[in-house]
Amino acid sequence: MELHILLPIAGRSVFLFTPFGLGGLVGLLSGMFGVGGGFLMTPLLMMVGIPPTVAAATDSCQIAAAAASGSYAHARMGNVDYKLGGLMLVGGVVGGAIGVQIIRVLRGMGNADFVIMVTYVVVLSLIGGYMFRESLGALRGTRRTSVRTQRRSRTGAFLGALPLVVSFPKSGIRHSVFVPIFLCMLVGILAAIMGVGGGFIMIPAMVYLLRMPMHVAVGTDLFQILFTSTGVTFMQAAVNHTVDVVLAIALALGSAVGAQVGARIARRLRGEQLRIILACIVLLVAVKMAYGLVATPTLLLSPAGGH
Amino acid sequence: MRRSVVAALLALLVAAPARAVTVEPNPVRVSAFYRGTTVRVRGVTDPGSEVIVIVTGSDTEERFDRKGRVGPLWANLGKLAVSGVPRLHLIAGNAQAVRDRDLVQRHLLDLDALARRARIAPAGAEASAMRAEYVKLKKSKGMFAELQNGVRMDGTAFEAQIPWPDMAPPGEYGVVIFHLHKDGGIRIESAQLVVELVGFPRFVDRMAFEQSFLYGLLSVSVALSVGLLMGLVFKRKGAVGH
Repeated sequence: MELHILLPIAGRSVFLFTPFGLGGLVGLLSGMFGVGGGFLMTPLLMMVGIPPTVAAATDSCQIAAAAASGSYAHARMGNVDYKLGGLMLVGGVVGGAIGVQIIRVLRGMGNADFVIMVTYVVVLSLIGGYMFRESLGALRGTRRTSVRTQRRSRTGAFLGALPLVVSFPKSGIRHSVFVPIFLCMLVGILAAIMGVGGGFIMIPAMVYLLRMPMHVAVGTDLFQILFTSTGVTFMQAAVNHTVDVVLAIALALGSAVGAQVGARIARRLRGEQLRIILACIVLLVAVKMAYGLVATPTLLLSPAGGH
Repeated sequence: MRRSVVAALLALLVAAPARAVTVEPNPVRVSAFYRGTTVRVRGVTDPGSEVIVIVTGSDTEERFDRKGRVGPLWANLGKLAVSGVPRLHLIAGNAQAVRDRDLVQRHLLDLDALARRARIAPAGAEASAMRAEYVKLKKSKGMFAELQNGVRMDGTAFEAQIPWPDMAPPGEYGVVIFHLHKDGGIRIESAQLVVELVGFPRFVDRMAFEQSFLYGLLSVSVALSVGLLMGLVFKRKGAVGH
C-alpha cells in the first residue's frame, strides 16, 4: 500500500517519499555548490501539483534548512568567511529590496513574466557557458592562462583603486568593502527579479570576480543564504500563510541529508571539477527553460501566482 | 439573474420530500494520511428512469495566468478570471439522452453546459477558447469530471461511485440526483456532502490562519532545527567513521 501524506496548506495529498526525494536531490546540489536550489525546487514542486504560491514559499523554508545544515558542515570544515559573508548579506538585502520594487514596476507594465523568463535564459546561459568554458580549460591544463592573467590584472587594477580596502584572510583576498556589498546588491536585484535565492549567480561571481577559493565561496554563500531564507520564510508564513509546514519538514529532512552528502562529495572534488558540474546543471536548466519558451504548452491556463 | 447551483440545491433540499438517498462517506474526514476517497451515492429511482448524479461546489472566482505567443515564443500574457461556475463539478451518468437541452444547460448536466455558463474576464475574442481551456485544466486536476458509466443500476436501485479529488477543499457540497423519466419528465432529489479537516491538518490550518505570527516562528524553527539536527547527526557519524 502506498503511504501518502496530506499537505494541509497546499491542500494536496502526495506520496510520502516524493518530497523527501525532491529535498534530497536539491539538498545535494546545495551542499556541493552552495546554491540554495530555489531555481530547481519551485518548478519541481509545481510539477507534483503543489500550487505555485505554496511551492515558492515552502521552498524558502527548505532552503533555510539546507543552508543551516550545509553552513554548519562548511563551518566545521573552516569554509565560511564570516567577515565577507556579513558584507555580502548587507548588499544582498539592499539589492533584494531594489529588485522587489523593479519587479513591481514590471508587473504594472504587464508581461513581466515574459521578461523574467527571458532574463532567466540569458543569465543562466551566460553564466553556465562561461563557467563551462573556463573549467573545461582548467581541467585540460589551462590553455587560456595568458588571457585570464591579463583579465585578472585589469580587474585587479580596477578593484584595487576603490577605497576602504580590507583583508579577508579566510578567503585569501583583499578588496574594498564596497566590492562585496555592490556585487551582492547586483546579484540581489537579479535574484529578486528572477524570484530565486541567487546562489547560482553568486557562486560564479564570488569565484570569478572576487577570486575566492571555490570551497570558501560555497560555505560563505550558504552562511548568507541562511539569513535571507529565514527572513523570507517567516514573512511568507506569517503574512501570506503560504508555507506548508508538513511539506517543509519532509523537504527539509531530505534536503538536510542531501546537503551533508553534497558537502562531503564537494570536499573530495577539485574546484574546477565542481565548477564544470555546476556549469552543466545551470546550462541544462537554461535549455529546459528555453524549450519551455518555444514549445507549445499543453494548457494555455495555469493557476495564478508563480513565475 | 442566475441562481448559483448550490443555492438551487438548498432550495430543493427544503422543497423535496424525504427520500432514501444516502451519501457515503459523509462527512469526508481529511486526516494526515488522507489521499482522496470515493463518494458513493445510493438511492431508489422510478421504474424505467435514468439517473444522473452531480456533486457540485459553490460558485467561485478563480484567477489564472494566460499563455500566448510573443513572436516565436510562448509566455504568460496576463491574468484571466473565471467566475459564475462551481469550483468542483462531478457528473455521474449520461446526459446525452436528455432531449431538453435547456434542462441540461440549467442544471449543468454536462461540462459543455458548464463551459457556456463560465464568465471570462477580461472578455475578448478568445473567450470561447479560454472557456474550453478552463474546463481542460479543471478536468486535469480532477475537479471537473464526466463519468458516463458512473451510475450502476440494479432494478430501481442505483449507486453512483464518484472518485473524490484529494485537492477538493473542505466545505459543503451539494449532491443532486436527477431521475429522468422516459416521457421527458424529471424528478430531482438532493443531499449535502461535508468535507472537513480533522486532526493534525486541522491544527496546522487553524494555526496558519488564526495565529499567523506563531505559525511564522514555527516554520522558521522547523527549518533551522531540522537543518542543525541533521548537521549534528552527520557530525557524529563522521566522528565514528574517522
